[in-house]
Amino acid sequence: MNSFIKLVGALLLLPSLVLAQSDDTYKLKVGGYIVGSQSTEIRANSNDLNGLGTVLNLQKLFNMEEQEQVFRIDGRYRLNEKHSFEASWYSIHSSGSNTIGRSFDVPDGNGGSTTINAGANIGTHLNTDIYKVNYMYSFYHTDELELGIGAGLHVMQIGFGLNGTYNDGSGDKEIGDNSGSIATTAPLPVIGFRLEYMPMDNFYINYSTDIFFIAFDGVSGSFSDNTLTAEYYFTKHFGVGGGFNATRMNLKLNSDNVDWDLSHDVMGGLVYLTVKY
Amino acid sequence: MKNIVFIIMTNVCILFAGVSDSEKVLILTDYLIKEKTAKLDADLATTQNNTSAYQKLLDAKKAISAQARSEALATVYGKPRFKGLVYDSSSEMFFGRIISERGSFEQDINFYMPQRRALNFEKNVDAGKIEIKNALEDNQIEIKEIVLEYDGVTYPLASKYSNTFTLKVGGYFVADQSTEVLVKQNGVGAALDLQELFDLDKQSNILRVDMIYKFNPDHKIELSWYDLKNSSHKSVETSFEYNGEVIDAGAALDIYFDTQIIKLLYGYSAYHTTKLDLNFRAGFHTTTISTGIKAVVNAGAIDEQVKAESIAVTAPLPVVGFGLEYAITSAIRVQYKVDYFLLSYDNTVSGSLIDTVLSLEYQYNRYIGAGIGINTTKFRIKTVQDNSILEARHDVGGAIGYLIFSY
Repeated sequence: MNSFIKLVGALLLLPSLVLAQSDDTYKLKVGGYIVGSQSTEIRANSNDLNGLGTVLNLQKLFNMEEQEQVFRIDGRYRLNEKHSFEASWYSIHSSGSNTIGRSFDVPDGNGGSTTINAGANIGTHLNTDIYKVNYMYSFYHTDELELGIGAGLHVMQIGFGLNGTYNDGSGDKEIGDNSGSIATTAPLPVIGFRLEYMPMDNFYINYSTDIFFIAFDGVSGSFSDNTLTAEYYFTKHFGVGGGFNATRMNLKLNSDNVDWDLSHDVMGGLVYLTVKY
Repeated sequence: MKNIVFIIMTNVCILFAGVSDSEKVLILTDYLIKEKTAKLDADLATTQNNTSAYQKLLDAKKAISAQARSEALATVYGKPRFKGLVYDSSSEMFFGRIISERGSFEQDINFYMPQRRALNFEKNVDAGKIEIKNALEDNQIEIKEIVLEYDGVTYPLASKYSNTFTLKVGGYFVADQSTEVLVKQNGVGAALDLQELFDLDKQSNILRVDMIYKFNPDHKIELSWYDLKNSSHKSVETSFEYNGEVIDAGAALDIYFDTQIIKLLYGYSAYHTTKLDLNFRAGFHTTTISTGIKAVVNAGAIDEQVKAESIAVTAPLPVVGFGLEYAITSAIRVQYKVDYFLLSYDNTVSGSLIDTVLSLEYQYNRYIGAGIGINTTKFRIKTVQDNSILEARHDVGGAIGYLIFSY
């Protein structure tokens, strides 16, 4: 987080250090990300049962919030007409608690499984912090239209924790507490595409997509982040925007006994103020 | 080599002394044709008339003659220039006159240019300069590419001529397909992978056809079709009853799962130059899924009987999206198309379809080309009732390779 603040700070200072080359050398978007739905699922397929598996939806299972409004900031610094850097940050924190209404088995990866019996009272939190940094090369740039390709990092800091008790048939057991939660950082190298189209004066349509694929030695996964927005500038430097953002991540791990499938989908609307100079 | 070029140019200069431009073209054309077809003439002399070999030699000579004529025109007149460009906003037409760089070769031209494309050029367009590339062909001016140079900036303008109909025929090499049904209640549920369950192929190579018809540079329709067939053959391990029929252990069981895709879209070109085309699309993405089993069953006195039960579902989904076509060179272009369908109704039904195509195409000439690319389709539909969720997921992805026929 500190490093990201430094990065944003650097982006804020850069325009004052470099002579502005155009009206959009620096662009900043500040507003809300209205998360319409988020779904985190863990699926386990036993290799002994062809095509049959158990699936857990964390939001439903732990009665967590699926809809939230969070703060979001996006920035771009244009080195010149061809080259630019982008950065984004937002944070989605969800929590909840629930009494599990149905028993289920969780495979342990060694051919066995642990049974979580109905009645278990479990609290949880799922915190996702997103940092995005991209370099973009504009291969086509006119007053009306700009097209760019680039590469960067989509860093996801995921913190997940459980606390409460459950009964596996041999008595009550403690799951742990939030201090024992899992935190992982996934810096995904992505390649991206950008489109900025001005169909009429002061009105822009922006489309961006970042993707990532991985497949090696029993591990496969994909990530996609798509954003479509429309912006209207009521002065030369200030405007408003709104749009849609969808992020999908999927990771598959194959082992001898169990195939694991983790998916994390977030989508929602964007509303923001924008400034460029 | 340099000496030969020098001798040719010297001879050309001597030949051109005191003759008109049209005579220069004829002289130079004749000279180039003779030089380039000398071997063809020799072969023609020794080839029997009215044979296919003779006809091929004649066709080759005709092609070389046309090329020589173009070279002669370019040599004499130089690069064509545009003069007196006028834009009529009511008819959205450009009017003007082409003049040659040298000599007196002139011809009127006019071409259609929608208002919004001319927006940047309308006010001071007379001060600009338009270059016409590949303009000389067979004594006619054919405008294939027009570039406006104004105030030190070059703006590519739309081509007057473009192919109306394009047919793409090739293969869709499906690398992975997955069809899943999930049933969840209170966050816990079961997932069923049909490909895994029925041991169906996840990879297959199939025929794929895409057609594009352009009404004009702004409006077009696109039609795509492919049929994904999957089947498996198994022996039944345990007897079971299906739809009133008893299927015995050991019986042969054939399972099929077919997916037919038909995409019909209208595209409107919002931004169009010789380098780039940005279009917005709307239409229908129709998926027909047919699945069923064929088995040998015990039917009393009749020892064996083949039965087939099938389910067919057709889902015509309205989609919107956009397409982008970028010409890296005059012969190589990149295309990216994405179509979306999103549905959310009363918090009980939701669904989405995302279909993307990224391809690289090479146009050998105006009529023939080839392309490669990738296509992915992701389909989701979910119904919610009380705390129960029924969800279906269908994903298909793979590479495409095709030939392009245009006219």
